Amino acid sequence: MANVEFRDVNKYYPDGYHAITDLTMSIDDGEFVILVGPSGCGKSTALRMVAGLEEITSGELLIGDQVVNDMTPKERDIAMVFQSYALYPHMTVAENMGFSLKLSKTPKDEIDKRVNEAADVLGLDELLHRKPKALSGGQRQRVAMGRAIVRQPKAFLMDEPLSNLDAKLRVQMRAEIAALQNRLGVTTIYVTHDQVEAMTMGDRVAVLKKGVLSQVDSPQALYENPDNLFVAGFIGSPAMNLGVVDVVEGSSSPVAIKIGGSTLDIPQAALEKYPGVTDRVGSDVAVGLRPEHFDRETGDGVSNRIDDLEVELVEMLGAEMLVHLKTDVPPVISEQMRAALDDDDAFEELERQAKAGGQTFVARFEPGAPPKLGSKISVGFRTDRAHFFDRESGLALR
Amino acid sequence: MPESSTTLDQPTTAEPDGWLTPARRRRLLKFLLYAVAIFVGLVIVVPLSFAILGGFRSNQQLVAAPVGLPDPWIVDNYLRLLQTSSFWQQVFNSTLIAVITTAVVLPLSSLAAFAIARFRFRGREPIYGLFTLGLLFPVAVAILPLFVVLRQVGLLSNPLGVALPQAAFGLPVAIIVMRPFFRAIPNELHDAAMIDGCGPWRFYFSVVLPLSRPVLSTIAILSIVGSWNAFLLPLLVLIEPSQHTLPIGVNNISTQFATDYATVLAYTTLSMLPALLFYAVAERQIISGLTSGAVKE
Repeated sequence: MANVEFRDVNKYYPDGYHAITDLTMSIDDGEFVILVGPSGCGKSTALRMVAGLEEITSGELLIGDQVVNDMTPKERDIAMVFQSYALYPHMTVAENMGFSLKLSKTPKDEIDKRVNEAADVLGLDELLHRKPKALSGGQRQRVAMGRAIVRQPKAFLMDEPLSNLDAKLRVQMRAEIAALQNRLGVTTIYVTHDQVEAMTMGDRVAVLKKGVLSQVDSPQALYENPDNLFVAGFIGSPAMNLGVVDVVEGSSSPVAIKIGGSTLDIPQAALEKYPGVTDRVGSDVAVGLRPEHFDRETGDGVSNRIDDLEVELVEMLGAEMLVHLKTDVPPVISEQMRAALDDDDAFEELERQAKAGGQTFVARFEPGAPPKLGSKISVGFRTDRAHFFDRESGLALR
Repeated sequence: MPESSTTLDQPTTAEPDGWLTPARRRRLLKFLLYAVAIFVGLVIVVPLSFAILGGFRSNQQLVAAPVGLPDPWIVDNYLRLLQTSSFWQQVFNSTLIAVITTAVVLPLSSLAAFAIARFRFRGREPIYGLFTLGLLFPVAVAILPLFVVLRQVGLLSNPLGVALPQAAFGLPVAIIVMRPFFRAIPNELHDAAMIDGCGPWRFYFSVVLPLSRPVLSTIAILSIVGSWNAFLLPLLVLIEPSQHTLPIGVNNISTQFATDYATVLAYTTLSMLPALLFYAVAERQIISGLTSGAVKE
């Protein structure tokens, strides 16, 4: 077990592509850190550099306070779990799990002991003599985990280990991996593009965008205090509603924002969190409204009222109800938003909406009688929970 | 399958007037397919059975009716040959050369194909191209310079003088068959092996070779059968009669006993038998070796 530290790490591929830019981050001994980001953000590259499967162009990588830049994967003493599991097809489960120990010339009875222990932990006892071909996806995943566990390595590296499983199994394995890591206390770096995995599994989440570390913090802190538009748009599902609004002087507060015909006073709590907004009166900002901070009821004193929103779509999800509301708030069109959406079609749709001069907000309500499609409704928004960003730089107005 | 698809397709795609309905078309294609397959089968089976059955007939029977079944069956031709020491000597010589050839081809070609398939290095493609060019040179073309070289290095009248050149000429095909197979081994498997502590050699021996059994046996069979049937090179290199291989023996006996058709046919049959048996046993492996790697698992 050991800590892992990136110091100004850069990665250029031979074709000149700059995959990782000045990555500096330290991961404590026993910590579970998630690397998350849109496709092509360099998260897998960063992981492979820790594994020793990719060379480091510049900077230093330390495992257990030792610079490992020039060490082979073998010398680094780490274990990795792959998306495809990468089990050896010609070996039995037991042989797969014991292979690395065999290569390191561990005595046979010690190998057997450790393999049996790991099989016990993972519920693989009955399957030790099977070949991977005869296993289900979930079982293969477990064998891949077992292969990592038996080595008792300095760190676990996991590259989207759950993305080949079906949804139900993924939920189960997610909990199992998190519990296992907690029990073993091995430093773990986990790459995923899945929101839920990122939010639920790790101690900290590092969000990468185009090879640059955008923000690293605990999942809840990322969710509540995104540093920039990219993190705000990327973390959360359904995504935060982001739009450009005019800032004016409010009636009960020095600052208010305009959405449609409604003026929403921004309470002191929000201004303390985002003091930069006060300088923007008479100008505009990018505002972020989480879907769950809308209220169906209006006028309870906490919420500010937004009137005349046309209901475009209602999604009843059992435990909640998502209502798509047409607004005149133009979307933020920037590189950060494109990266946060991670979907060129979705971004084109956003650009189209921007030209039309509005966009659709998603509000999440308790399930109840759904509003009528096409009708205009008023909803409340808890403006103390609003987020504010500079629309050009995308930085939070802290 | 034809029944179900007929009922499915006929109402929608059949042209009302055309005689070539989809169902008929399928039947016609099937007929052609069988016709070709049967023709090709006959081309192989007829001479083979002529030789095998001819060995069971007497010369009188053969002269009286060249094509026909043995009546009565005579096993004497076979038994007589099986008792001669020269036949067994030739079986031994053929086996020895086939084994040496294969023992040289397999490790060399698999290592070369492994390097070409899985490492990036300067000049990789030209080297591969060079091997492909090797396909264009049959032994017969190079026989004269080859003979000169073998004489200079003193390999005439030596089984190695046959086995080594055969191995050299067998390398291109082996490498070309193996390369895509090795390429198809997933990169993540390579990464996993590296992390488990493999270097390139360990990966080759512990992962690549065990996974490549089908392609390795394909190459082994091709080179054994190729060596078994080789005629020109052994004829030129192996001067002592005690070193002769089976094809040379067949040739000798057919010139020696030009009129003893039955013996010649029996000898030919016996010389083919080991290769045929070997092929029959390994046929499944060959098929899977030639087709695997083409489709991702």
